[in-house]
Amino acid sequence: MDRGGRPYPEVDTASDDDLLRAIAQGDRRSFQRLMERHVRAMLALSTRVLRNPDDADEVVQEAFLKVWTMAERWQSDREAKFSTWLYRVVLNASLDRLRRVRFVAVEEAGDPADPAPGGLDRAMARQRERLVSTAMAEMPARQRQALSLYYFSDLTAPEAARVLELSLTAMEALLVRGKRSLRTALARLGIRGIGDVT
Amino acid sequence: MSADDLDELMRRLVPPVEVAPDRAARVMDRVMSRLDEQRSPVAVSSRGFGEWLAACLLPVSRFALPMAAAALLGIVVGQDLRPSTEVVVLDQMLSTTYYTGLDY
Repeated sequence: MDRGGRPYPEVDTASDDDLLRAIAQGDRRSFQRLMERHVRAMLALSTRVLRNPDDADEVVQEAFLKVWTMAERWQSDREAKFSTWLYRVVLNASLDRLRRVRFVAVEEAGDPADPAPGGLDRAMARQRERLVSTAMAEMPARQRQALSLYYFSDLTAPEAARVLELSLTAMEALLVRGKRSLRTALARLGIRGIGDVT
Repeated sequence: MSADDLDELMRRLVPPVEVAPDRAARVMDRVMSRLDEQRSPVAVSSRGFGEWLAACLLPVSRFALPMAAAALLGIVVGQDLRPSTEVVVLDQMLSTTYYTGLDY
């Protein structure tokens, strides 16, 4: 029961807003359920942005701790969906972390290839991921956000537009500009076509 | 490179990530345990008042002597900088002279 005497929502049928109301009353079971709903999508997004599962785990943990503390202030009657807000928090935190760790990654770029079986493949995969990281780092922040959602999340274009608080038209225009910038940045790194990465 | 080529290229450069259930569970467990850690400040408040006061004042105490010395120095030097009576009187005289000159 919450403070108003109402029972906590049946977690399986409850909406995110219902769960957030229960979380605001300190209901940890609802919090657990809310995490179960979103944690994998958030981990997938953050891992693809950061290319580092440990960093992604930390970003997602921080995001959910933020959910616990802001649940009381969450206004369910406003237009924004909880998942939209959560995507925005995780995306921005991941891009921010990427900006901070990028310089460390560049220093590690000269590591010799792992002599173990498959070591060369892993080294090449890491190298390719660094290329993307370097190319996207050169782009304006807004384009980087749009492309990250487009390539690294499972959101549709309208959903991604809502995460960035843009109209669909503006989102599409941003994606066009972003792709142009990315193409230029990749070409500068020597990648001009699919053949360059196979 | 066309837009479709770029999309395909990005899919190859950063392939989709499959999040294993045990990884998701580990992250959720860590969040819950961090919630428990956040609650522990209650235990901190049960410490003795003396310990709390010492914790608050100790970092400040090393600045106490220099700050007291600075305050004392400020008072001593400030004594000499107060406007003297003569200056105030001269200021009033000048003002008066000015208004007189304008036939007020």
